[in-house]
Formats: sequence, C-alpha cells, structure tokens
Amino acid sequence: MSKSNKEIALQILNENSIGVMATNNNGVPNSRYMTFDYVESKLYTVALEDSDVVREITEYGGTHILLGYEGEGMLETFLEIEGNAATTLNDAVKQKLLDKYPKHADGNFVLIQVTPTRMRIMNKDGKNQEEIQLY
Amino acid sequence: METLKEKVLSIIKDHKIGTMATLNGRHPYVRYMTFTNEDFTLYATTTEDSQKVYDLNENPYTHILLGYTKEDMDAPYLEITAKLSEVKDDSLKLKITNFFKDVFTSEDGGMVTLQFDPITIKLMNDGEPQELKL
Repeated sequence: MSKSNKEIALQILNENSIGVMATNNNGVPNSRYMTFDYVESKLYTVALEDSDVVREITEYGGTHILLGYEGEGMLETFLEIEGNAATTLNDAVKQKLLDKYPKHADGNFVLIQVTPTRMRIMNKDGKNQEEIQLY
Repeated sequence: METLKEKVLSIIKDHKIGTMATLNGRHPYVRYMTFTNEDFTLYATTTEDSQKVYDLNENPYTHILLGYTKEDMDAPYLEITAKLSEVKDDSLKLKITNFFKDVFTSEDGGMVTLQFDPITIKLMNDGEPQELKL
C-alpha cells in the first residue's frame, strides 16, 4: 500500500532538516537556508541572537518555509509550511540542536520555534497537491 | 583570480532553480522558481493570474536564493534582493517553460515573464559573506 500524504509529510518533517525560511524584513521579503528539527509538532532552529532572522521574527512572526530541498532543484515531494515564528526557551530542545550542530556551540544562540498553521504537500509533477491536516 | 562579479555571474549561469520569496501584505511566501539571466538581470516565467504575480504587483521586492545544493553543501550560493522591473509577454518564456513545464505552467491563463533587477547580491559560503551592490 502506498503511503498516505500525511505519512509522507511526517517523513519529510522528520528526515529533511534543510529548508528555506522566508520572513518579512520591514516590508521587504527575506529568506535563508536553515536547518530544522521537528519536535512535538513544532519546528525548531537556532540562530544568533543578533541575527537578521531573530530581529525579523521579533518584529513580525509570520513565516513561510519550504522543507525538503534536494540537490539541483527540489525533491519529488516537498512541504510548504505557513507558520508563526518566535524565539522560545526550551533548554532540552536547544541543547539537542546545539549538540547536533556543534559549530553553533560558540556564540549567543537563541532557539526559534515555528508553530505551523497550514501545511501543504507539493509534488514536482504538480499533481496530488493537498493540504495536510496532521492533528 | 576571479572577481566577486565573475563568481556571482558563474553561479547565476550554472543554477537555474532557486527559491523566490515575496510578501503578501505582511506575510512572506516562498516557492521554487526557474530563472534565466542576462548578466545580473533575472527572468522567471509564470502564469499571469498566480499568487506571486499578485504579490509582486502590490510589493515589487523579492528575495531569491540561488545555487545551494545538497550534494555540495559547502558550495557557494547567492542571496539576492531584487525588484520587479518589468512584466512582459514575450518569446523568452519559451526558453524557460520547457524546463519543469508541469510545475510552473498551467494550461489556462496567459504566461508572463517577470524581470528582476538585483539591488544587492550576497555571495555566501565562500569565506565571509561578500556583498555586491548593483
């Protein structure tokens, strides 16, 4: 039996750490590659406290993420995630991320939590695109 | 030694697929796009009635990431802040729409080619980020 879109979405969330995160920089869009960890239905990443991304999400938390970036181009299937981003204190998750990405251990890093509000599964061939309700 | 301009141009030439962020009101959106270029000017073809065209008519600024690949995560890539300068319906679209036709085109509605003039291009992953102002 082939996997349901929901199962595929969860697999992308759990296995694909690199995504593109778009933010609003004072009326101009901004974006960057970031690594994400999916923990208990939220996405987490770390960034320097004085970085543009932290300033931007503090001013406006709305964000849009493409997850599942592969090679020259894109995965057969990827996710578009609309959500709200905010810095948060969760020492367990933060430590997990810092352990995973040791080059972030030095420096004043803060944890960013993205709460998805809408998730859409996308396919390279443009077919079978649909909203995913994970919960 | 390659100049910053030469490095940037070679990445633009070698990578056709990138992501393009726009604002819809306050809210950011990002999607995959294919780009062609004439020097530093970027072109992308899309359907006339798409959300991104609507967004760009309201706010012409965009942010484009070009050149990142998972095979070589240490390879240099570009972060480009650009402004929509022209929307045209011309033959250039044919060159692009053959590429990933199914995703980026649809059978209904007209196709337009969006022209973006870069304002700043940041070369990333090649030592410290270097910024090219155009």
